[in-house]
Amino acid sequence: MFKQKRVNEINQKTSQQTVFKVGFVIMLGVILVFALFPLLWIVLTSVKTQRDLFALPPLFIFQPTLKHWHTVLIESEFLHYYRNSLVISGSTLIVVMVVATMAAYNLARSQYAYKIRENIAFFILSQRMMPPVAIILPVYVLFSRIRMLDRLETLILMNVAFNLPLSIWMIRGFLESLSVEIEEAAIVDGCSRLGAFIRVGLPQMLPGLLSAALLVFIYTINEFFFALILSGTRSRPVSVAVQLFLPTGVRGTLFGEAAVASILIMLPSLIFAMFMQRYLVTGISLGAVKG
Amino acid sequence: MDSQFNTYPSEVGVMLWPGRLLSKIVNLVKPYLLIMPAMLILAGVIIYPLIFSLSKSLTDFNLGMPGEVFIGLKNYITALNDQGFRESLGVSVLFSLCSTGLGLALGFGTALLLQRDFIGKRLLTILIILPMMVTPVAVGIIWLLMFQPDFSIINGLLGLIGINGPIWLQNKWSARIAVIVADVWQWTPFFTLILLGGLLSLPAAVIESAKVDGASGFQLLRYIKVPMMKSLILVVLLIRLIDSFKTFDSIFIMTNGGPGSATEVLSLHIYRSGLPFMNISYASAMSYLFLIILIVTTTLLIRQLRRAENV
Repeated sequence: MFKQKRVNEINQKTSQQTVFKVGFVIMLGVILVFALFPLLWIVLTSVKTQRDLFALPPLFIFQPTLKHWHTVLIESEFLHYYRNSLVISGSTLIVVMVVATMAAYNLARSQYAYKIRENIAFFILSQRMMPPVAIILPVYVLFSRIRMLDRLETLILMNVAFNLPLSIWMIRGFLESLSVEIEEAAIVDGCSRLGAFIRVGLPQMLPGLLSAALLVFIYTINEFFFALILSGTRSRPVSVAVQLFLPTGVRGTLFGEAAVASILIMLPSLIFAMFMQRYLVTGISLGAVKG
Repeated sequence: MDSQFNTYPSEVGVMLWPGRLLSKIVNLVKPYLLIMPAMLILAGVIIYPLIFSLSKSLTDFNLGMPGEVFIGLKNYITALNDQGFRESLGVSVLFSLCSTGLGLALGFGTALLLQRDFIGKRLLTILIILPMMVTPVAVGIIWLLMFQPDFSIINGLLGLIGINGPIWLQNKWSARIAVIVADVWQWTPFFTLILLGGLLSLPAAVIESAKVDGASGFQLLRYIKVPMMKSLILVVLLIRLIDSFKTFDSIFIMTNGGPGSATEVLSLHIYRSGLPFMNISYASAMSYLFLIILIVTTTLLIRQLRRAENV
């Protein structure tokens, strides 16, 4: 009698658990579909023929075509714009990392008054809040006066300025978590201060630097607003060039081409995100919590 | 020989004088030397333009017309009375609140699901956070294609369950929903990522003892996990509220503020009224108002955050 009751109880519990598990899997599935379906759809769109694009109900199985890819990669100047993007992000990355590491080292290690240091750090971080649209009009006027519009250098400068705050803040956090003693030991052993930092400090915080660099690269290659206003035919990066293929653009309904272009734009960040997920997570959480 | 000896000290003094001044300057600047490049870049690219636009916002400066006259706060008053400015402020607030609220709810839910261990969790986490890495311009294109009237996949799917979807981007409210959906899609993973980190770093002992005391899953969430993560939740909310208030790219691509000005957030409104007409002074005044709104909101939220941390 008692045993029977116990068995019933256990049965009920396991069936509850099964229901729970099924619900769990279904919810995860819904979230996964919500996250990935748009990406899948854009890939499908990029290989559909013009006729399949307009099929109703929407097609999931069809004869794929590479026509749109051919149009974008071979027939248009898309790759030229891509080169601009890479030049801009590469240069921005290098400048930001050097300047930000210097500034962060200063903020973390220098001996001058704590209060001044905190004020400078706060000033730098507060720049992260700055809405680009508040800067762009005066910048446009000023740069047009010194004939700096439509140049790669201008876009690099803007991106450097807008990526510095977060990078300085992140690198400062990494520097403060290092132990100074090892570097001091190296100095006692005859290293210069700079030498000690490069040989001992830098290698320790390499993962941190890598995640900061990764974020700078992704932000810069994704940057659209400054490029939209400050670039022209000579310096146009790919994020702005993609407008040429927009359905609302002058060339009419180029849905397939727009899909190809958007895949090509997001490819670098997606690849980085996949392969360096660990570093990226460090960077984002640190940037978020500290910022 | 003799005269040489006599003149020696004074000559050295003359030679040293500028040197001493220089070394004084060097000593004064030296502690800040490493931070100088960063400060100079920020001053040149952000602070100087800000001052420039502040001074221009008090005039009737216009790129199309030569000459400028000081007109005081007239631009600011015009902007505050301008129907378009007020409407776009409303759109911005609506957009930020909706997308941040939905993002938080969805992101927290996802974080709770990902908190437990199961096979393939690592891969699943990477896949779920992918949208966050997508270029905002590409987000705009993706959702523009998804919401297209001619072959809208969304209406196609809705049709399967018998709902006749609207022409999304051409109706006032459906266009607003569309841009919010795109933003939620992109930024939910951000909430997930940060809150998952927070959930995983909660002290296991507290959770265990609550479980032993017979707390149900919901009670655990309501009385233990959420209160313990309150300040982290507020930080994420703060970051996303500010960032979503500045959203430009995806809305610019999807609707360019349309139909009419239904999805014209503040950034878009300033951009659209500033650049095409070259009316820099008026647009500068508006962007200053934008800045003031941002600063006031942030300060209030940060104060709230401090209070939550102290309790």
